[in-house]
Amino acid sequence: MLAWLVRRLAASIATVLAVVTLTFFLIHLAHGTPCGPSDGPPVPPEVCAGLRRQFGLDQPLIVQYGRYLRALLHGEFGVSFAQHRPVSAAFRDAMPNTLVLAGAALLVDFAVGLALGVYQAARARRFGDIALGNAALFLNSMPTFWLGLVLMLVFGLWLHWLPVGGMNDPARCPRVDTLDCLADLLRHLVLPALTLGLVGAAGTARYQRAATLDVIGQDYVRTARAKGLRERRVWLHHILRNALLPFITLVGLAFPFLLTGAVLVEWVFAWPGMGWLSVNAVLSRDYPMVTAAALVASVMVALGNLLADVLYVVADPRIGVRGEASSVG
Amino acid sequence: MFGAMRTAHAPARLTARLVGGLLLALVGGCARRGGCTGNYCGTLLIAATGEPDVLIPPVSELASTRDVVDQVFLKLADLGPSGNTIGDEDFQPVLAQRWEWAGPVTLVFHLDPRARWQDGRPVRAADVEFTYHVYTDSLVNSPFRSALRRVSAVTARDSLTAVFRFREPYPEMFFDAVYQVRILPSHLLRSIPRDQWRTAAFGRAPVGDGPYRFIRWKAGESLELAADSTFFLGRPHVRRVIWRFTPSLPVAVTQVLAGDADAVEVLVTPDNVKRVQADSALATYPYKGGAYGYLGFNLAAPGDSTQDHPLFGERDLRRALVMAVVFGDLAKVPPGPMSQLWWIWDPETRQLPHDSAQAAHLLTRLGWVDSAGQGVRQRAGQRLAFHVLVPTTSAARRVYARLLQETFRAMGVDVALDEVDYPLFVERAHTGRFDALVNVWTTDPTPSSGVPQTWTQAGLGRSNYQRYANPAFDSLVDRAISAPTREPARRLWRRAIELLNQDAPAVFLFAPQNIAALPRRFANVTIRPDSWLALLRTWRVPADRLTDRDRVER
Amino acid sequence: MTVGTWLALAGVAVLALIVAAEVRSRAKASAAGRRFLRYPAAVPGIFVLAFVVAVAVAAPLVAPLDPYAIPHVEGVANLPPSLHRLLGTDPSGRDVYSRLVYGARISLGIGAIAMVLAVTLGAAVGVVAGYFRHRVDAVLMRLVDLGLAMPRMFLLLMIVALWGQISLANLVLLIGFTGWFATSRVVRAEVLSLREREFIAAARALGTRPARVVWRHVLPNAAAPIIVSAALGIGHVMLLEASLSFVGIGVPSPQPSWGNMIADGAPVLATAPWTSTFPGLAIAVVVMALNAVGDALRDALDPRKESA
Repeated sequence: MLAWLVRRLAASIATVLAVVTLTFFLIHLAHGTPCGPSDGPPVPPEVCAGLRRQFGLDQPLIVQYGRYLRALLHGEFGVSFAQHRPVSAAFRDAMPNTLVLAGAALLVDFAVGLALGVYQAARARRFGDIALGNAALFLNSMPTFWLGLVLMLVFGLWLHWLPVGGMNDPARCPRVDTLDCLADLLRHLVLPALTLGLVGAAGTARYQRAATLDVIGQDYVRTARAKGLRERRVWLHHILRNALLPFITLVGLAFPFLLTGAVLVEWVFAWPGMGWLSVNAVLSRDYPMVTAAALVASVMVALGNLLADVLYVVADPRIGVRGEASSVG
Repeated sequence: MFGAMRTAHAPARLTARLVGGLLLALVGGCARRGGCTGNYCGTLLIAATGEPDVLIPPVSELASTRDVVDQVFLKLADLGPSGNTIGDEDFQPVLAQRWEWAGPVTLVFHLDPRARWQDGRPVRAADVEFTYHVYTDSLVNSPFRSALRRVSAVTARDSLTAVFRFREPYPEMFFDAVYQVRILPSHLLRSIPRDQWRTAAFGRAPVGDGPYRFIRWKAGESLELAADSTFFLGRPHVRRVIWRFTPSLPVAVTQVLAGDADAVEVLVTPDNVKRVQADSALATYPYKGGAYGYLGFNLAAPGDSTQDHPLFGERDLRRALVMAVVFGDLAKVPPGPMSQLWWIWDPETRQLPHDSAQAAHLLTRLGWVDSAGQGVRQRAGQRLAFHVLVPTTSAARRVYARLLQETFRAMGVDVALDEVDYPLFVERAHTGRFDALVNVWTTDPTPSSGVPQTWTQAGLGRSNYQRYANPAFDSLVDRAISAPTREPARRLWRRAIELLNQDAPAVFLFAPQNIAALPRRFANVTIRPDSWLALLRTWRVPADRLTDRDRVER
Repeated sequence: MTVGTWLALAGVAVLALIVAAEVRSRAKASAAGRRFLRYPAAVPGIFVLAFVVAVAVAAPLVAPLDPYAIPHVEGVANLPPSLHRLLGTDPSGRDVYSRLVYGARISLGIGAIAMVLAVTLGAAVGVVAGYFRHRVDAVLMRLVDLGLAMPRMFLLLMIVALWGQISLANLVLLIGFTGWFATSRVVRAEVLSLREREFIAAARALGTRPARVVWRHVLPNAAAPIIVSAALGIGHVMLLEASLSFVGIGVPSPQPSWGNMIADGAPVLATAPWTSTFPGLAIAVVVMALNAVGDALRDALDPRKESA
């Protein structure tokens, strides 16, 4: 088991390293020479010389690569053009916000998705199942940001039940240090978390429906029913216990979806997280920020896949570590 | 794993407690009534569409930065209500208590001894000297450097006296010396290497000497300032100023209408104005706009400044195109490259007649006829067609671009729109890779800096994207800037603008009036057109009109 | 909306109905087809797809107004839906319905082209990796791992940040070239299992050239996952294009795409929600149809993957 884990970890690290190399290559391809002939507003020559020296751009490529790697390992992601401060500082501010949103979305995703999937399995092929199945399909097919806009329109602009974007009321609660302000944060969190969570829930529901139906079809369930156990006991002690196990692996696999979804949802709701930072950076061509965000996203995806594989093995000992625990991207 | 299923009750109890606690807090929060009382309690929550970049005055020219640093830092003297930039009579003392002229090129400021930096140290003339050096340092590369090009030296005669020496006398000497320069704390900034000012930590937590003190800035969310109760020119009545950053103007207006924010700087569209006026809790404040927009023709060949533009190199063609544009509402159209803010605004200024029949006639006379019958004029095989560059970020510019497209199409001119995002727009404008572009300039209170930068040979390679170069115009502008009194200056400016209008390097489209929205509970609101929050420290919320937002103590 | 356009729209609807009915009757004839019909959403999905494709093709007939023309008249912006302007007007005064129709061309076109690119690449890589195995397989699958390591959205954002605005053609190419990884894995798995079947082994034993084996034996039998990938892939691309256009780095104005139409309407959402609502609804319905048809196809073409 340990040997497998070490191998798996090494694979993850190799993947991240490959992504870093690709990123370096792309940056160099696009901006090997700052202050080039078509670089927009004129920059004074001494500033250009400084830029070249700072990035070591007059050094051989392999030396530049080495410096880039070393900087990344120290957590130095460069300086943002638009915010005029280190990218890592911007990330330190934005990352907790994205984690809060992603966490809440994950909660919504699983709470709604699992309940829906189990209910659909219980009512398989009857009206409830078909109707909910189509509703889930519809949710899964719409652009996430459009759902966000619609929710914002209905609950924020028309009904005035919830705030229209932002993360807090800056006059009352710039910091979350009272229960009152926690409530404020939660009020602002509802719509973005619902948007991100519901779309994910649709996918989770499909998966859970299939898994639950699979369990229902198993011999031990039929045996339990034949033994005359009450239906409710059959459900609680046999079906659910085994059907809900595999969903644990979905946690890791949800990472790429949450990261990508967060980009648009944060933008629509002006939620100041990593996604919002990335879009802002793209619109002002702040490539240090965007490339750093892409790297962080890749690390999170690698972590998510690793987590999924580990949990998969832990959750179902029958799998063992021999077979390729392949994750579906 | 299986054990967790049996203790399903525990999470349920915790949830119940949490929900109960929240409900209590919400109810309790509503019941609370304490907090700030009196005349110094107002909180102004501004829904801002732009976010500052660096809060160090010499380094940033963003209007959003200016709004913030105007409250944190002081100038030696500031523009008076008349907005007159000539001479020094109409300026108000701020950091400088008084000043006098010790000769035609020597200006002596006496600092107010009560002025203090927010860390307690007194403001000294050494700070003024330091500030001047920073603003003119090429390593800092301040966008305001050119404003001080005629100041030859600034020295500290003693701890409270700063002496400015100019190269030659001219009417706006005083304006140049004080308007753009905000005095900086030398004891806090001296140690920062000059080429690292843009990334200095001070830029995200500035310490100044102004009526407001910096509290916090959460990137993408909000920026908060608090009033300095010991401010030597009078304690500000509005206790807190908070900018709330919103993605766009419609969102900002929505927030103001919903009560989630107080103020918006410019409402822009008549629709927004109507919605705000329909709300009884809000009031609108019109003031002169400091911007003008135009369709500029590239006089040089795109990408090759040594050649003339194949179409727009010809003056008569440009004149015909300018004449072809007919406006519905003439009141808003500037009579030349100027905003409402400028004192040279004179609707009597001679312009080309806006007459589409005359324009069509002129085009035909020049040889542009629709020989192929396709609706597009041609001459010697060349089609009268060009591209107009527009940034996607400005709704107003796009609307004008399309209206122009329709107008020109009716004239037999084929116009295609290049709608690009803002960074690309700036790049193509700077490198001259365009036929025509729709641009907007926000101006200083005086034409003396804006016009040379944009329309004379001094602006080539910088803001003069169209490469308009007329030595006669340049000399008229120079003489107008140097004219000692208003009347000769006015006449010279008018001649210069009329000359430019005859050359038709651009179609001047709009110079809008601005309308701000503020809640009615704010009293004594005066908006200075060049910087809407300049007089914020005189605004107030009377004690009987306080709302929850004003009362919150943080 | 003129009489002519109403007629054209009705004609398109009838055409789509005929197509759906035809598919239904033909499907009943085979076992795979009957499995396809077991999905209640499958045939309505076919109808929707046929309808939208026909509308896109017949756009000039179905749309009454020019999608690019800004009316010179005042007060035409942000009008609510009416008989004359079926879905209202956008903030520039353009007819939303006409733009929706022409936008179908662009959004569907991008979806189809990028999908073809991605599926072709994915199938090619999957087949080569699965058939030749060993070193070739290892190298190609590491490449696939790298491709799946960075979320597609971030990669595209990074490229735009580095190179500035990309042209529509380049955008389509980019989306295509970043979307083949998952397909290659699925195809590879299929090829790996096919490889051991008798007819393939026989062909190889006979000394047939690998290319011929692949072309005549492997590909036709690996068609099922490729087709399913294609159907689902268009949906992914459409959603991706909508996201990019919404943010401002996708299809450039004034060309209408369903994504940038939603962006156009977002500022006036409170007072004129139709400009944003209808394009989003269109995307949702089309992608839902694609997903439904894709799921039904997956079941129909591969009886081993029996889902309850």
